[in-house]
Amino acid sequence: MKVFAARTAGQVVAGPNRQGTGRLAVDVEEAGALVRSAAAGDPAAWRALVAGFGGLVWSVARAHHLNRADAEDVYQVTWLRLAEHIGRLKQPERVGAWLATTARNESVKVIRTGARLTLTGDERVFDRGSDDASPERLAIDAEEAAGKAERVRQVWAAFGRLPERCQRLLRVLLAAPPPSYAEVAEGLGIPIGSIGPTRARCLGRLRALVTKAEMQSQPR
Amino acid sequence: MGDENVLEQRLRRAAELFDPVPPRSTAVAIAAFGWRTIDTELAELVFDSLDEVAATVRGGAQPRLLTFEGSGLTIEVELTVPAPGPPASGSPSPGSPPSAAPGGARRVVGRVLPGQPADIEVWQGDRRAAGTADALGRFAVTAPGSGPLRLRVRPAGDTGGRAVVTDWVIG
Repeated sequence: MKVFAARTAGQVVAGPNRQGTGRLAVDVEEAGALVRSAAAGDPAAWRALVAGFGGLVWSVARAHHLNRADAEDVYQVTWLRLAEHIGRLKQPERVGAWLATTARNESVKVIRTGARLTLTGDERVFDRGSDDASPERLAIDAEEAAGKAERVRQVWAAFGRLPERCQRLLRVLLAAPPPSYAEVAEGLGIPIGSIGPTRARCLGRLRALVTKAEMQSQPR
Repeated sequence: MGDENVLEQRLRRAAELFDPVPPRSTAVAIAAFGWRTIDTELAELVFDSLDEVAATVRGGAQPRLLTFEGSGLTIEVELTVPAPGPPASGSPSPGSPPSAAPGGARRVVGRVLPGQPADIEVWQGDRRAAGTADALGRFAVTAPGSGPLRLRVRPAGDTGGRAVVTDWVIG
């Protein structure tokens, strides 16, 4: 599948239209096949799972407002667990939901140890590892050169000002590649039917914040 | 609707720029496939005191109790969670050994049931720390690093007990 090949190369492939038949992280048939191949010992299938669902696992930890160090623990333990359990999954095609559930459970445990929590907006926005020279990074450098960075910065700053409930949902929805609503529901422990309406409301609030910021930054 | 999707796409772009998966964690996720145990029995996590903690209780000061079961063995573990304090990247506090893991090395104390001597390893990523359980199955090992950990238990008796590894847990 073409989308899949692009994704494993670390490209951003999500189109602007994710409603309905929009492209998702890894579709269920593909996910089931990858799990079975990995369980049989195929490292390429494993890497494809990490590429396809890594963003989801990370976003679930971050949606729980874990700081980056704690989120890394959650991310890592989730994948370590899957490696051990890959041959025992009852529903291989639902591996995305399994990962989201595991990441949520581990996030809750970390919170119970008294972890320091953070809101997205609290962190320095350029807090990146020096080893981060991914294809995305290079693409972003090119974008910055093109002068688009300011708009991205604005939208991220506006995201940090959204209510907690909105940040939580949107953080998982905007994982790359985009997860399915079923995976989002598992990752946050919320009913699947609540996602669409909350998403619309939160994006509306985000639009208002972005519009305001853009007006303020207009040259007079 | 299309408007919403454009905005969400912009936000996704922002998240990739400002909050990406740290490359070192992606590397651990990929390496995890090589660390899985194919011919060793898994002892699954069957009890975790963090599952029992009421939301109103601050659990930071209490030891974490874990129980794993598999292959006829029960492994009970007490993890000493480092006190909340300096961030993980901070330098060791005065007086602590320079080799201390960031945030304080976890002490892994426990026992193997039925009680028996055994070789114990604590794994963290590809780092390992070894110890032994006494005739009653009791052991104490200092974890070798930081991040998620697991135990490997190999009964030492003549009974030919097979090694088991536990599920991974966040230390």
